Amino acid sequence: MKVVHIKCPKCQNPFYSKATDTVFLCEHCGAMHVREPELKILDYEFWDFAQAYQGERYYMPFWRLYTTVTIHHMQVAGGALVKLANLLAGGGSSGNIFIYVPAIELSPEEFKYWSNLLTFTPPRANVALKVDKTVPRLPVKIGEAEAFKLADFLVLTYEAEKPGVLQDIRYDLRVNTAKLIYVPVFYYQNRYYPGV
Amino acid sequence: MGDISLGISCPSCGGALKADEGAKSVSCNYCNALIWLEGDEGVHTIMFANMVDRTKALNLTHEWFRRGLKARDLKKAGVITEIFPLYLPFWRLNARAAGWVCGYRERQKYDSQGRPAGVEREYMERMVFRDFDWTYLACDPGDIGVKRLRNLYGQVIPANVNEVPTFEVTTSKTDALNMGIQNVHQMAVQSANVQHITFQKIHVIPRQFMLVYYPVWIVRYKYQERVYFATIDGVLGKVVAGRAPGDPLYQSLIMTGGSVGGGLAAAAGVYLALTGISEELGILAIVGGVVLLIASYLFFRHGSEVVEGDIEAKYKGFSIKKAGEISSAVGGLRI
Repeated sequence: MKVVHIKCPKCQNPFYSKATDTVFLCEHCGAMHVREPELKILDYEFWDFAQAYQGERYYMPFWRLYTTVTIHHMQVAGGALVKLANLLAGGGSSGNIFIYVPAIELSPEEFKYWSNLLTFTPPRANVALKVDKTVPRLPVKIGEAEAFKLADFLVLTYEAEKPGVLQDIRYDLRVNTAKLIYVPVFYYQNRYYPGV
Repeated sequence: MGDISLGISCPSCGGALKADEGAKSVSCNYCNALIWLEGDEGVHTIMFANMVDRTKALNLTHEWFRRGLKARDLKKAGVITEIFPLYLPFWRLNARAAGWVCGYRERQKYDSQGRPAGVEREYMERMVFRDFDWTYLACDPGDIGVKRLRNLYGQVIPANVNEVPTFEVTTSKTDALNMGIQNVHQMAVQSANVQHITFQKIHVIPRQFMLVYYPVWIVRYKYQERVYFATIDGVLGKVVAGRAPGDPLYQSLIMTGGSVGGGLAAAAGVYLALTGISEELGILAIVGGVVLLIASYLFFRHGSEVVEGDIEAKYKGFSIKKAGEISSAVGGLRI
């Protein structure tokens, strides 16, 4: 086994921390990187806390995927063919949407709550110009590749949960860009609440 | 799931590194340097404490002798020849399945007088979004009646695999993971319970993949010069598998009772169908009678040995599925 002291691939600054994570944020140059499945510098942003709430403050990571969805064929029983098209810009069979996928371990209910909240009602958040280093980051557990799969599942879910009973669908989901977004949250009574 | 010593030093300060097995990054306990572990990542391994001692294992076996349709004199005539604890390695995959299964199921429609009036389709779209656990024996211990874990919880102790009696793991991590993913996919599709599938897309996302060393007691015993066994769960403290001699009296009683019951049910069915009281009920009674007859015959034929656990029992081969096939062939009923 080879052991390597983790260094920033951009500025070579060595990392020291008690907390472990699968993504590494350089305090010197601000570059964030992952080492699996390959060494890669990530695009990321932190959002500002915009409201006060009870509980501990955290940054919760989400993968924000800018996607293009193209529907080739859809068969719905007992409903009109209006579904996903409504989500897509212009109401056609192809369009672009931002999909937010939680990057931490959440229960299925919480996962749906957070992805729906940010995908359908994205808050007016300010990008933090200076990250509050006293606020801990929740460690990333869902990698980029897994996030793509979950985004695909969410697209199907948006489609299937509208009127009518989906019977068949052929579509393409292309992820154009992926960005890790750290959303401010409050942890209170075993639940996370949005801080934006 | 305690830390293990990796036997390597921190490249920054030289301190000994400790980490969970399978971990990719670790923080040095002395200088807080973040360390990346490359190469042989190992397998995350846990071991459960054996909560059953020899005396308790013997008592459990004797209690088990008395239960079910085993030979009535087994407790007196059964002689325990061997009893020993063992750790069995199991692969365990916890994975989240996320997807949709769409399709329909068909139902028989009836008119106001109860006569068949065609088949109706009920369209379905079912979301699957939940975690599944898959476990499978990672070694080949022979016939002990255990292939998967029934229990996933227990007191975790340091996994000193070299210090306990166990079997060598015979399946590779990659093969086991692939097998686990396939099985979780299959379980996810089945959980949707869609009879005729027109569309399905399920993503399986592994969350935890590990090797679990689980304690069991193996008990071998003789009855009328034949060797049988029982396997005791060392965490839950109960017999989970085994082979035991059956009892000719029970076999005869079940054969007789099954023949009488099956014959009466079939006769009642014929009467109901021919007199026009209820054709449906008649067919149902005939099918029920035939099923009862076959089941009791199979028990009579193969009931000289009672088996429990992951062992194929010949008299258990007559399942609900097979009964359904027979009923479909006879009367077009769905079970």
